[in-house]
Amino acid sequence: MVQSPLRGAKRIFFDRIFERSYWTWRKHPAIIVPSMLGSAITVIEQSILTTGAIIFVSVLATEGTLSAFLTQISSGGLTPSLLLNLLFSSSYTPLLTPIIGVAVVAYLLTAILGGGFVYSSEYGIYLDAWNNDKATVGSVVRHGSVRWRAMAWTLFLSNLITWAPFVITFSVFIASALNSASVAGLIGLVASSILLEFALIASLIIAIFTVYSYPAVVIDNVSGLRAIKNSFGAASHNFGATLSYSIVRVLFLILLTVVVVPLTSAIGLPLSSLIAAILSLFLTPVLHSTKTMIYYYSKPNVSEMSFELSDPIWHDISRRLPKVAWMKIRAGLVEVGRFTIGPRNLPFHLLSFLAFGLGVFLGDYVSINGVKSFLLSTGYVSGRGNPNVVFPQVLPPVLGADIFLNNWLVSIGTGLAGIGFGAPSFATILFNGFILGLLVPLSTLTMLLAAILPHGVIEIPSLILAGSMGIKLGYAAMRRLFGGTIPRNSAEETLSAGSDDYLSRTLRQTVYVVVGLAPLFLIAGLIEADVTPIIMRMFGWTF
Amino acid sequence: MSLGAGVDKLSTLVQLRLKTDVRVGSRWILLAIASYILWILFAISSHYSVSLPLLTIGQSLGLIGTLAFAASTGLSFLVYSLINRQNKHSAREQEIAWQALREIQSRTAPENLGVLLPLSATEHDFSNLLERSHEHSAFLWSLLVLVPYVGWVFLMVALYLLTESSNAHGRMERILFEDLGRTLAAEGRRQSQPNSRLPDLRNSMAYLLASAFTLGIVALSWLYVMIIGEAAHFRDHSTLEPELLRGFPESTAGGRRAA
Repeated sequence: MVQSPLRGAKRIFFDRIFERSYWTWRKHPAIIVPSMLGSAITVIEQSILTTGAIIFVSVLATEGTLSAFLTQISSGGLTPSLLLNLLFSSSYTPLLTPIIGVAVVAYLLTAILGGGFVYSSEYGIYLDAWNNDKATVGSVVRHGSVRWRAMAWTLFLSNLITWAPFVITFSVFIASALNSASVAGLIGLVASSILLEFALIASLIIAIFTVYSYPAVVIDNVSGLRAIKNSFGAASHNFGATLSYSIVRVLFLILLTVVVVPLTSAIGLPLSSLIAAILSLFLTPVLHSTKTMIYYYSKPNVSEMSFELSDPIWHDISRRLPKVAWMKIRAGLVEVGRFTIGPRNLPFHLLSFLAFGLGVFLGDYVSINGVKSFLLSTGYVSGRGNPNVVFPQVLPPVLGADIFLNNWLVSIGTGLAGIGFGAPSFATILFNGFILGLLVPLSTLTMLLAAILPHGVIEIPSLILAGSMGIKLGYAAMRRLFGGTIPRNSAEETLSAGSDDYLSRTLRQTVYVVVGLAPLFLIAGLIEADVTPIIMRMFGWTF
Repeated sequence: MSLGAGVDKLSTLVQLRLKTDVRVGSRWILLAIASYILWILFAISSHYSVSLPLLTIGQSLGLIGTLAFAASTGLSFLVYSLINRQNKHSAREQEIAWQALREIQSRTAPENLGVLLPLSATEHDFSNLLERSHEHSAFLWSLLVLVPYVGWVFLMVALYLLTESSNAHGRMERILFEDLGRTLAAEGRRQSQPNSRLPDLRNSMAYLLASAFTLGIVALSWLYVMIIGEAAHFRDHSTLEPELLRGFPESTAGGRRAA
């Protein structure tokens, strides 16, 4: 389509695109799935770190040096330099080096390759939803499978180019700080701190220009430097819309996390989990869709976005959205029931349960062989709340809602992290079991059950179920991967398509199951905030 | 596009006035005033460590800050509504003018200079209108206004831009509709001229300086002036657009319904 000369140069309307992005999000809920997968990548990264930590403390517990290690850490105050000196002392280096090495490699691979899959599916599905008015979970898998390499390469290069000035200067700053005892070192520190500010500004400016690198991979079918170059071109030709997008994105984040959270926390309204949910499930998809379409409309062969009217967003958010969300949760609850009783899912349930049990066993072992004696040496008395932890005064129903949202987000991450071949879900469940296991030797069984059972009777099975769903998703991903590259028109093509379909169906089921777990976590959260403390006091706990 | 389809679209666009030209409720101004007062109270409370009865200083600041932020969201919504409605009004009007021009162009013979000359002038007006109409992002400015304290500066800038756009829009629109009326009259269609009264122009720079010198107090009354001004402008359109539609007799009931 060609722009009429009478209508002048093509314009890009940020508000029109943002509004339509909202309605696209409303019409095609599947576009949330990649954002959920993005949260899952974070869970995978965390599971790498927690698994490394579990291995480290378990080995120390086996060697009988854990208590001494914990005492060393706590005695000198937990300063970064002390921690570094301690970790890299000759006693721990042989154990830590392989753990840190593997964890760093796994972390980077997850961030880049996982990011490649998630972003290619994310930006691909936005394009489908806008242009074809169709967005399914199947297209998430399809886009992710097709362009993950190109996206991963672009992700790596784009971040390298954007943040290199800051990272290099920051490294110089740290090196100067470590050598600031002399006059020359002090001058170096001052100079590097000034340079650091300039480098940060430079990185932020570059970030504005590389903002379209990921959409460019999907829209232009390019990768790496070419995608970054296209992004620079689009951003400089449409600087107003690009700057509006960047400021809106940063402002949403700052206002919600820096202004709203501290203010409301001070009056007993912890909203951090609610804000994390809003950011992950609503703002990220709408803003990323807006970014994609700003880039799309910047293409010379695409005509200006036409004038169209839609209902006010505020009315929809306040009136219709809660009803729609409830309907999805109800559908999810049905799926939870189906998944739980489905006989084919029994192996996944067993594996998830095994992960939890293994975690409890390891936690218990580590606690008995180091953590318990360390805590007792610090004056911990069994059956008392930790005197060093000051709990903020929180309005009871709000605390329950906060616990619910936090646990629900963890379960979403746990379920969807399974796409990393099931291991991250297994590791997350194991970690949760590990934490519970640490508590087992610290009080009597009755007191422990009083503290855990009232809400845990709902919360723990729900979490294990999320893990079970994640392991099933991992199995589906493995079937997809080890289906191999099937030549076209071969008899096996059906098998490959079947694996793809199975992965799509399992991913869809995972989304429904984790959404359906919401009411269970809500009940558990309310019990944990309002009922569990009463029962704990009845069984001798003091705070 | 067939002749009938174009006129139908014109009719539809005129009818959309009921959705785009919605008056912003002036009661929102109360929240803007509340926001202003509460943030001042927050600053005083924070500086002199004064707390509310029965509350610690932290809780007191948390409560005042939360209320101030809640009130600021009302101010933010007001700014959003003002900019958004001006954008939508302006975009719809551009579409109306575009459709009207296309209609006249399609039914005018190439040798009919009597119509083509005023049509060319109208097209020139239309290009000018497009060139000078800048759509400001309602989302962006409403978020900027939400930033505590600094938001007042952004409020002044937003009102300045809005006033400038509104002044330019009023001027350009009047010229465009006058020329459109002349073109239709040249076609032999009865077309009354728009109100000859020039739209009220506001001195945006004076308002900006006054707001800056009074630390934002004048900006609150400026907001009110903008709400009233926008409403008056929308009222003018309730007669202007159906009048224009009468120049397109194919447009059956559309104009009457919109009126």
